[in-house]
Amino acid sequence: MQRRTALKQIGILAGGAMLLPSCIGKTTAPAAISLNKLVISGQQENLLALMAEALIPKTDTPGAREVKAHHFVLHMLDDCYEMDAQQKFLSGFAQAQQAIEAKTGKEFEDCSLQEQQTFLKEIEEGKIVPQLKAGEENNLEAFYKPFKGLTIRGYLGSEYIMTNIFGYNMIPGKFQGVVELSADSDLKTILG
Amino acid sequence: MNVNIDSKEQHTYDAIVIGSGISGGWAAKELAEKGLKTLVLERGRDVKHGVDYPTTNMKPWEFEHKGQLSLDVQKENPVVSKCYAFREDAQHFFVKDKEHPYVQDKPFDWIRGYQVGGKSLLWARQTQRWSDFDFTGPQRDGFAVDWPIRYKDIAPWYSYVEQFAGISGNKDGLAELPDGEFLPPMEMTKIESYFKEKVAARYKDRHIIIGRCAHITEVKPIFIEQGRVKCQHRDLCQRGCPFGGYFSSNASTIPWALRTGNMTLRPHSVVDSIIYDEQKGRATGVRVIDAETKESIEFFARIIFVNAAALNTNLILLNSKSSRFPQGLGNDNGLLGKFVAFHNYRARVSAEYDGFENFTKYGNRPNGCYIPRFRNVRKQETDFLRGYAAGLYSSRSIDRSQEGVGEELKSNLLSPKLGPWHVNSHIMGETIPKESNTVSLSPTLVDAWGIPQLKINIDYDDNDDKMVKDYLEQISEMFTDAGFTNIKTSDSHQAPGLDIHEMGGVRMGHDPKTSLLNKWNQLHACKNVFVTDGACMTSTATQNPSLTYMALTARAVDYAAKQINAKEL
Ligand SMILES: Cc1cc2nc3c(=O)[nH]c(=O)nc-3n(C[C@H](O)[C@H](O)[C@H](O)COP(=O)(O)OP(=O)(O)OC[C@H]3O[C@@H](n4cnc5c(N)ncnc54)[C@H](O)[C@@H]3O)c2cc1C
Repeated sequence: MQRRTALKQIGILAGGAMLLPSCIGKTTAPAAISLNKLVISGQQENLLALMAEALIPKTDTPGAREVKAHHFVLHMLDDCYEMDAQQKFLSGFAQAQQAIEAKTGKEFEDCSLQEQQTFLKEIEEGKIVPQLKAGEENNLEAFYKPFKGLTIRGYLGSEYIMTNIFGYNMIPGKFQGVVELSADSDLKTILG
Repeated sequence: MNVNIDSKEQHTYDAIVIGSGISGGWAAKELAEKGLKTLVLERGRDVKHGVDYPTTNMKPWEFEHKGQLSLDVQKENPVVSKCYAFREDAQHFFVKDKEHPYVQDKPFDWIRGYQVGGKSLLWARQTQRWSDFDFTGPQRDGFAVDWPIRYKDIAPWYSYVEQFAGISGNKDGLAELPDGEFLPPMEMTKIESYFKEKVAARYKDRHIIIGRCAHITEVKPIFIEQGRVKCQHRDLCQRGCPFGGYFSSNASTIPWALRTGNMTLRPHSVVDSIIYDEQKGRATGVRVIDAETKESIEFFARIIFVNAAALNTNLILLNSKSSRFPQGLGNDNGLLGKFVAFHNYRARVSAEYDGFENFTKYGNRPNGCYIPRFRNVRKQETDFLRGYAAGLYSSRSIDRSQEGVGEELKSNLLSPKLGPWHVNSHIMGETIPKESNTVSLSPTLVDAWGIPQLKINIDYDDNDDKMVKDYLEQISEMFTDAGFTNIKTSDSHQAPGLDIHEMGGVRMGHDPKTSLLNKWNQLHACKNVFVTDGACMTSTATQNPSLTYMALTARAVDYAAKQINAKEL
């Protein structure tokens, strides 16, 4: 019980920290996802979806947002991460938001896809240094690493990708121990 | 007065079976088929085949955490979380740590399934026969006591249960691992066949064979009669199989027993103890606590089969105290709960192979390869007793770059390539039953039903350590010889129990002074009580044990029924 309350408070605090003056007036709708512990605003949910989409964008096939990879990120963070890791993730998430604003003068949501992707790449390369308050830790990496890893897992494990691209078949009906591949074997054959 | 007599009559059967798992399901089927009115008492809830498999048709993306369990569940369940199959899709078939506490004098990971079907829903379905090299082990090597049976006593019963359960395998013609009534074998991969040849060329006594497993690989009338069809290679067995492709009590023995009209299944019935009548000199029934109402109820029968899974069977017998048996039912020699043993699953070897790049597989194989015991089989040749079998699996890794951001990342993710072949092996070592490896009743702690908690005091010994060392050396040598690279060895030092092959405590033997059960699995001192689950095992051999429990159970029921007909029981 105590642990739950504590987690809620952290969620609220981290969320609260993100309600910067410039954000007020943005999406105020509650998040669509229902979580057990973390409290996520609709604005945060939307922002995470945009970041996931920048990471794996829609092309002729859906991107991360459409396959709801960001929801997988949130469910995993909510249920499968230690409190400390959750806290750092949310703090780093807020730091990323502030950092892109400091860099471009615009919020992430208002940046072009190009700008968003450049920014993510720069985080990845360690080129972004967030402005930190006294005693505040740099949590960009503690956010970005699980964010990227989980987005990829959520995307690859989504129904669309598993069925349409990798040919997932729940009922193969048989097992063949030896399948010889040739230069023109398709993905479904390769993945067996 | 009349009311009592009526209710006693209503509560009276020809036979009672305690537990509905792999062995209890077999007891139920055999007893009911022989026309005996049989009551099956199961402490857990009912799990109906095909109906109570809530996750069986769920797609990977329908699991909120893609299979992983939440941190809270893992922290609340430090023991069962160690089991590889305790995941989002099958967690509902496992006992949660807090619900059924026990005392660990030494670390012991007790993995349990309390429901109709027991662990038969969850098992990995590996099924090998014992040979006389196993049954003569204690006698030849001077440990435990001599088994009162030999291969010839059980061989027809292996055949009998195999034909009904459906066992897939290859006739390998090995004396140390007798062939069974096999359905067609599953296939080996390219690298497994290659390894088999390499090993055969170098060692005349070492064999790589395809796993023998309880899967239907060929349609036969006996399976159709059970409502079971061929394995579809989904490899999602632990969820319960809608096809009945693998053997479980739920898909096979329990519905079969029900159909005879002779079986009554009573879930939520926690057996507290067996009732012994001194005047009659026999057990007359069992005391049950209704799991939901906590009401105490008695049921009566002429014969009782105890099949609660090895350690719980020990618990029930230890808790069945009377003035005739103050130390537990049948326990005149004080050996009940002693000489418990298990399988040593601590060690692994993994490797890679550069080659066969243009080969892969299709579908999933709910099975692996197997290396039968090759140490000390025909004579003692190492500094440790007995030996180990090994599991062997191969797969190709999938290389998929996670570099980049945006379209570059996406295109990387969507162009997976096959990586090298990986080969993994794990040990399944025989452990030597020792008097110091015991289970007993906690003098102070009880569970939620007022039954004493089990106190477990089981450990490895020097023989196990030597065996681990030898396994790691021998498998590494075999891998090296086959040209495998990146060979890695590990000893997890995992606690006993996680092998889920705990055995003994109520061992079979010739002599009532040194054993609890005779060659028909009857308590020497209380002949109408039969123990045919893992508790009866005098030694452990290296084979996965459940097929042997099935065969011993069918054999014991056959004997019991004959004894009843001859008015001997
Ligand atoms: C993940 C996993 C993999 C495994 N792989 C293999 C394998 O490949 N090959 C193999 O041979 N074995 C394997 N096993 C072990 C196998 O499951 C057991 O050997 C087998 O189920 C034992 O059968 P049993 O009838 O003794 O016990 P169970 O199947 O466990 O059934 C015992 C039943 O008794 C009930 N019970 C217990 N106490 C009481 C009581 N007091 N009153 C009433 N009912 C009670 C339980 O609820 C349960 O339903 C595996 C097990 C697991 C969990």
